[in-house]
Amino acid sequence: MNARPFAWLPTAFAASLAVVAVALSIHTLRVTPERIAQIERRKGDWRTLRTAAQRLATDRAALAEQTQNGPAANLADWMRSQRAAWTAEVQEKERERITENWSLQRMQVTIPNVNLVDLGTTLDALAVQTPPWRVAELSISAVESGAGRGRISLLLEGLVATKPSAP
Amino acid sequence: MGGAASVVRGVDLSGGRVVAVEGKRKRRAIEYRSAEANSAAPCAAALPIHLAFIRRLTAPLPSIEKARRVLPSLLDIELPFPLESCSHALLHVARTQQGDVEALATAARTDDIAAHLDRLQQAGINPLVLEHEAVALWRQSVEENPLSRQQRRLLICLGEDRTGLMVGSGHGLDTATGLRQSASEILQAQTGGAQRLALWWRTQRERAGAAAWHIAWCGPGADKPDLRQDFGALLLGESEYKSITHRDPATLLARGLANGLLSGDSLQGNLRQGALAHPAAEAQTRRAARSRLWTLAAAALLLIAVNLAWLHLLSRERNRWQQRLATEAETVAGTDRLPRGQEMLAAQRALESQAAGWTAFNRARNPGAEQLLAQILRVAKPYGLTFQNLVIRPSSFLLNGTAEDWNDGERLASAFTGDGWQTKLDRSDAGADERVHFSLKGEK
Repeated sequence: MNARPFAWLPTAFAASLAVVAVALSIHTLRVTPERIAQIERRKGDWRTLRTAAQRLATDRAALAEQTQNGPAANLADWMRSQRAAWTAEVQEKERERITENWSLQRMQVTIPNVNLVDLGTTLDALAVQTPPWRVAELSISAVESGAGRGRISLLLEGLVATKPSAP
Repeated sequence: MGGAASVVRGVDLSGGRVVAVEGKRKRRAIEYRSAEANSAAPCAAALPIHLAFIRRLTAPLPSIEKARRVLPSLLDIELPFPLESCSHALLHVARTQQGDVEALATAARTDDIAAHLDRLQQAGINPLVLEHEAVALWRQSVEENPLSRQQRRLLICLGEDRTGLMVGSGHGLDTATGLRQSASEILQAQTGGAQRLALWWRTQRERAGAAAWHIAWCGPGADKPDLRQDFGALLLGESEYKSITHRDPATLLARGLANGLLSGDSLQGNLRQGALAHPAAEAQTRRAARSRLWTLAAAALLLIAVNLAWLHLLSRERNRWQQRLATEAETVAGTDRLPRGQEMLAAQRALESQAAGWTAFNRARNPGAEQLLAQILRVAKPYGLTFQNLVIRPSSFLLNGTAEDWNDGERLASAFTGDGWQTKLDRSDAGADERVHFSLKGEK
C-alpha cells in the first residue's frame, strides 16, 4: 500500500496553477489591445466633449452676461413710448430657441417715413440696451417728402424668454 | 546536506583502516583536518577505481539537453555489462569547440556498489555520497596543484590495498584504471597486473601524442620514496618525467571527497542511487523536487497575479475614462440620465440640437447692420452722394444712388475694398438730373 496516497496532489496543484497562469496570460495578451483601444476611444470622446463643453460654457457665460438684466425690452412697447410720433409697424417674424429659458426673437419693424438722423439715434439707443436689439437687416428707400427721410424696414434681433411649451 | 552543509567528511577505507578528513568552508578556502570515523557530519566515500568504470563520451549533437538523453546509450555500448545492472552518472556535460557535447561518464555495477556499501557500513560509515575514486582524486589533485589547459598529468595513487592510475589535462579527467593490489604486491608479483598498467599507460601516451606529461603521486604509498622509484621504473621505464608528490598524500582522496561534498559537485556523480540511495539524499532529492514544484507554483501564482493586476488596471482605467466621459456628456447634454454606452451619442445629439441656437446667438453678438450704415453714411458724406435705396446686413450691402462725379461711386467702393469687402460697382451715364447713377454691391 502506498504510504503517501496523495503524493500527486502538489504536482497536480502546481501543474494546474501553471495551466491557469498560461491560459490567463494568453487571455490577457488577447484582450489587452482591445481594452487599450477602448480606453483610447473613451479618451478621444472625452476630449471632444470637453472641448464642446468648454465652448458651451463660454457661450452660456456670454448669454448669462447679456441677460443679467432680464430679457430685451418689448420692442412694440418701447417704440410706442420712446418714438410715439412714428407710425411704426412692429411684428414678430420668428423666434429661435437657444436654451430652455432663452430665445432669439426676430422682429420686423416698418416705418413709412422717418428722418434718418432720428433713425440713427434710435438704433444707437436700441444697441446699448442690455440685452441689446441688434439690426440684422436694414432697408431704406427714399421718399418723395424730402432729403434726409426715408421708408425704413428693419429686422431686429433680441434675447427674450423662451415661450413655455404647450402642455 | 551536501553542498548546503558547512562541515562535511571525506572517508576512505584504506587497507581496512578508516581515513577520515573533515572539511570546513572558511570564506573561499576549505580547511581540512583529521576526523573521527563516526562523526555526525555528512560524509562522502569513494568507490575504488577497480570496481568502477569511467570514460569520456562525445555525442555529436549541438543540444546539451538532447545529448543528455543520448549519452546513456553511448555509455551502454562502452560498458562490459548491461546499463540496467549499473548506477551511472554524467559529469561536466558541456559543448566542445567542435560543436559536439562531451561528458565524463562514471558507472559501477549495482552489486559492487552494494558490496562496497556493506564494507563501509561494517566500518561504521554510511556515506551520503559514493563517487568514483578517480573523480575525487583528480578534483583534489588539480585543486592543490593546478594544471594548464594543455598540460597532461598522470596521477598515480599508491593505496594500501589498491593501485590507481588517472590521466587528464587542464580540461579535466579523461580516464582511469586500477588494480585490487597495492604497488608492493604488483612489484613483488611482476605478473599480468604490472603489464596491464604499463600497456594502459603506453596507450594513453600514444593517444595524447607529443603532449607534455608530468607525474603526480598520491596515496599512502606515495610517502615512501623507494616504492615511488621502483613503481615508477616498472611503469614508466627509463623515461624522465617531471614529478610531484601531493602534500599529505594519504588523505588526498578524503580531502577530495570532502571538497566535492562541500561544493555539491559530488552530488552529480553520486553512484549511490535508487534503492541504494542514502535516506538523507533521497529526502534531499524529494525536497529538491518539492522545491521545484513550489517554485513553479510560486511563479505561476506570480504570473496570475501580474495578469490579474494588469487586467484590473485596464478595467479601472477604462471605467475611469468612462466615468469622465459620462460626466462630460451629462454636462453637455444637460441631463444625468444618459444610457450607459450611449453617452457620446446622446451628447452629440444634444450638441446638434443646440447648435443652431448657439450659432444664432454668437452671430447676434457681432456688430449689427447699424454700424455698417453709419460707416457708409460717413464715407458718402464728403462726396455729396445721395441714395435711393439701401439694403444693409452685417455682412453685405446693396446701395443705389447718384453722384456728382463719375468717380465718386468708385471712391465709395474703394473705402470698403481694403476692409475685407468684395465690391461690385455699376454706373450709368449722367441723365436728365446731370448726376451719375450707380449701384454698389458689397459682401464679406
